[in-house]
Amino acid sequence: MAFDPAIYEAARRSLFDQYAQEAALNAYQRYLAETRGQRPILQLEEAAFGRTAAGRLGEVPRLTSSYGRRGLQGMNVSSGVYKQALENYAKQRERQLGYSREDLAGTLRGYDLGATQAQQRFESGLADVERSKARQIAEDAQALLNLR
Amino acid sequence: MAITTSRLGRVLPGTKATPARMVTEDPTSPTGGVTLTDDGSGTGSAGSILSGQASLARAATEREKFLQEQAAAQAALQRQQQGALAQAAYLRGQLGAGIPTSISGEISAQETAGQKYIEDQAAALLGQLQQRETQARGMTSTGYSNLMNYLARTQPTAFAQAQRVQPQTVQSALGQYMSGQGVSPAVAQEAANIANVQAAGGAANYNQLLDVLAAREQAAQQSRQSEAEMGLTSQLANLQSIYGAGTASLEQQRLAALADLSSRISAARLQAQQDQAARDRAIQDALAGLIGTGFVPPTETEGGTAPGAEAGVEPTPEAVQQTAVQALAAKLPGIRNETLASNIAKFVAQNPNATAAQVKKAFPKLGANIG
Repeated sequence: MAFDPAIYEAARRSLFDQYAQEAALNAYQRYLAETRGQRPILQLEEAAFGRTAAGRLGEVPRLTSSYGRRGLQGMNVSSGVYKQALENYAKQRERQLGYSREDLAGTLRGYDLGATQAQQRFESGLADVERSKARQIAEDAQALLNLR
Repeated sequence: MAITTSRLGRVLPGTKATPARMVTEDPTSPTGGVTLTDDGSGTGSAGSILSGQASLARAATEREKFLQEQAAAQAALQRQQQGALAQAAYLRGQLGAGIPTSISGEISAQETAGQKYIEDQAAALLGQLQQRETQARGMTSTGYSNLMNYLARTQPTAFAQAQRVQPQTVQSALGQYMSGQGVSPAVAQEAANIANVQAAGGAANYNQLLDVLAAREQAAQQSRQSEAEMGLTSQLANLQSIYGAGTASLEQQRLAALADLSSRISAARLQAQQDQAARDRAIQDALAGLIGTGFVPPTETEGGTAPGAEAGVEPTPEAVQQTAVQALAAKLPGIRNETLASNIAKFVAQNPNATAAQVKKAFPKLGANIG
């Protein structure tokens, strides 16, 4: 086959198009995953303090007001039940937050890895195109020499 | 001496014509009418004298006629002999002359031209092959050089430059409040610390994965570069092999063409030699015919005996050479003087084995270069 550089330009364009599509799709999915991942974290944070009328997190945990209404917590009131409940709540809350953050980080790393792999395939594909071109030139040269 | 004549009154070769004894007849003569004289004169009566004179006149006329016929026969014989000798000399000159120069020259010219054509063709084809080999080497080197330059210029960056992650450490958001409420934040902070450790482990694992993939990526790049170098070497070796096979094929074709040319030239030369041999045989046949007439003596190589040679004795170089008489006869074609030519022909016919001294004595001028 005679050497036709246009073929390799087409292959190069195809690689770039494929890479662009993969990167765009991956970025969008990453965005969705990040949104989904942030939601439980936000819910856990809001669950502890609630929101003020201005939309900010509250300064007093909801747990405290709940025990206060039952007279187990308040001014000059200190019950062991409340303390135990606050301790357990704080412990569970940190644990759940840790899980959620780690889940989100892992999910996002998966998308980052996918994007990196797509880039690697793109770079490798470009190198393959260059290799194929060099080999085709060499084969054409050999065919040229065989014409005698 | 007896006279030997043919029916036409011609003198046969090897005989000598002499004046004849004249014979007349007269029936009235007491002697039977016959008077024999050596000079043609005679005696008798008046009538018989007149008759005798008439007879003598007739006899003289007859004698004159006979002599003229004899002279004409002698001249014809000499001309025949002269022609035969001239023809023999010409044929002997042509005998063994070898291949004509024009034919041998043409064959040599064809051989030279053929060799030049073959060499020129081979050189032209070899030049084209060398040109294509140079072009092919250039293309191959350029193609692979471009590939190696690209690989060197475009190092893999996907995993090598991928952003490494940092673990996110958090503090318990309720710690300060718990302290204010008289509750120890240690339990909550412990849970936060566990989460931080897990986050740090996950980040480290991810970064380690990127490092592994980056190393593999770099190894693949080095593999590509090595492949390019090996490909270049392999392709150049292939080109060298093809070029070598091409030159060998050209050399083989050149040698085959030269061998074919040599064969055809040899065949042409052989044919020319065969033609020349056939011509020599034809000349020898013609010489044999001439020798058969008796006008031309054979040479030693033609079956004759060289002067002085004896049976069973190796002939001397002088004997093998042309005899003096043959040399004298060979000069006949160049002689314009008819009398001299006639004398030579007569001498050759009468003295086929004459020595050089005898030839020189008979023909001093011509014989100077003979013997």
